[in-house]
Amino acid sequence: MTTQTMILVVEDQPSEREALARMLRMAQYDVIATSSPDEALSHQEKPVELVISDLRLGDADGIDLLRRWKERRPETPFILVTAYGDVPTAVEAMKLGAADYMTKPVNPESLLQLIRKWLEKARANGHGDQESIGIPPGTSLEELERAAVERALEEHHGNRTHAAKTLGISVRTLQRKLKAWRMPMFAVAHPSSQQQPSMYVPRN
Amino acid sequence: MVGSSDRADLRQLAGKFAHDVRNPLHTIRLNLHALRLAMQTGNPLPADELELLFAESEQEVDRIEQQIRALLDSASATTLRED
Repeated sequence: MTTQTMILVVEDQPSEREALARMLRMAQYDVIATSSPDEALSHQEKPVELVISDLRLGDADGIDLLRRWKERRPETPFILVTAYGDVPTAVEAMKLGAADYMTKPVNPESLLQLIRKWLEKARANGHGDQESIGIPPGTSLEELERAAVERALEEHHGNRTHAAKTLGISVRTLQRKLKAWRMPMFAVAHPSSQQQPSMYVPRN
Repeated sequence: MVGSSDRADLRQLAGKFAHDVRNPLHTIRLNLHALRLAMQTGNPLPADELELLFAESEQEVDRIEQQIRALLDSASATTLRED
């Protein structure tokens, strides 16, 4: 009998928590669904292979959970999910060792692909290996920003307008960064397909 | 003419609205994908689970509508104050 891979979900909103747990179970994962960092940490002794956590957990914080979990289990990949989608928060999360982040509403197929990717990497590192999964220490802020931009462009098939929205920055800011890094200037969505102008979402 | 303080308020309002709408959209999208997986794998959800999924999704649609209504009410109240 094949043992299913165990994923820990941390989300304070009941409907979102249940929807994510249900979808992951349909995708054949064994899921522990929790609503707070303390509840999540109570499962640290279990064979959890990956954690998906909201960034904002009521009064608590997904980044604080990430820090506390990684003190004892640095090898566990963490995927942080946020409805705010701003670059500074994502960069901070990745500097602290998050494997990845996604903006709500997530593309479920992209999430499942990320889960498969990070599980593969974690298993390739071997059980008991204490090396942290994610960005290597000493990575510069610019490198992290660049990684976030590349990810967003890949997720949106090179569409700068959609990538800028995901990153929480204007298209102009994204274009300036691409130009500064001498990266290819990908396509911009045709104006008729844009529903709203890009807006920068400030971090609260 | 929109001043810098008005722009800051607008940005904050837009950010909050985006957050409050993205969360229920997230639930709906996940539920739709669960249904898709059930169809693709030929592994249907139990009837009670299915009923819960539909009820949750409808509730999230109502949440989005509430946010839109609150924003419109807020905009109307602002217009009335200016008048």
